[in-house]
Amino acid sequence: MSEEIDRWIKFMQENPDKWKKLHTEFINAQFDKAERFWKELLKQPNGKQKLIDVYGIKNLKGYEGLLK
Amino acid sequence: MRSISDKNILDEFCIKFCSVVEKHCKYIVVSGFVAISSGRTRATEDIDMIIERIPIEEFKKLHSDLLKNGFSCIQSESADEIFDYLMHNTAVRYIMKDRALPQMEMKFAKDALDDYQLKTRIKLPLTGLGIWFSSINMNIAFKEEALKSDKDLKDAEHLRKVYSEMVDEQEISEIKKMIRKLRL
Repeated sequence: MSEEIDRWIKFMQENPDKWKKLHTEFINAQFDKAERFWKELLKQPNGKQKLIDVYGIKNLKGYEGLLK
Repeated sequence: MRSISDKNILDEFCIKFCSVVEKHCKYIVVSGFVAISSGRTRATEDIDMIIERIPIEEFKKLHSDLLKNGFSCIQSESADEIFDYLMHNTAVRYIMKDRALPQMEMKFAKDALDDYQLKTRIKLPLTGLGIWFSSINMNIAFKEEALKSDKDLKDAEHLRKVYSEMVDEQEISEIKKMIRKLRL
């Protein structure tokens, strides 16, 4: 049994109007962070190739705009 | 920075993807996103989906509809090639065009266990999403019997507590038997 899970579920139960906003911010933050990092990496030498390797991109056309 | 709404990025991506798939075949969202959309606070970059096995003509229509709605497949542009991946039980990944994340990892139902998952699919009003999920008992069984990582065991624990009224130990035990027979 994990204490952190119990703690969070208790918070959800006690704060039905607050937890969703915190949860949404938490989830969105990881994508914002990844996107910012992606943009920085693209400015580096070989950055584009690194991204292609990391995500296993084979359909380059589907990523055209992003890899510019 | 994106603005904060009731739906997070994963929710919006999943709802849009499911609304397209729904028109073409039966589907379920499984595993991590079931826990995350039920309030579990952990990171993920993909959502797992199982769809019923459909013939290539139907898949071409689905793929074309996904492209029309702004999605793109990471592995290939060609519907024939993507279908080939699926037929070999390899998952294919779709993204919103020009956005690396999140990703939808889609695969065909491959055995009796997946057929059972599709047959017993449910909607979970607590998530606020009108999409189809595999059942809570199925997710718990998979995470405890097949996946077993720390993250998966905590997902299972979260689901057990949030949906305590839906937990059926007998069904979980039966599903675990099927998992051992068909997957391990």
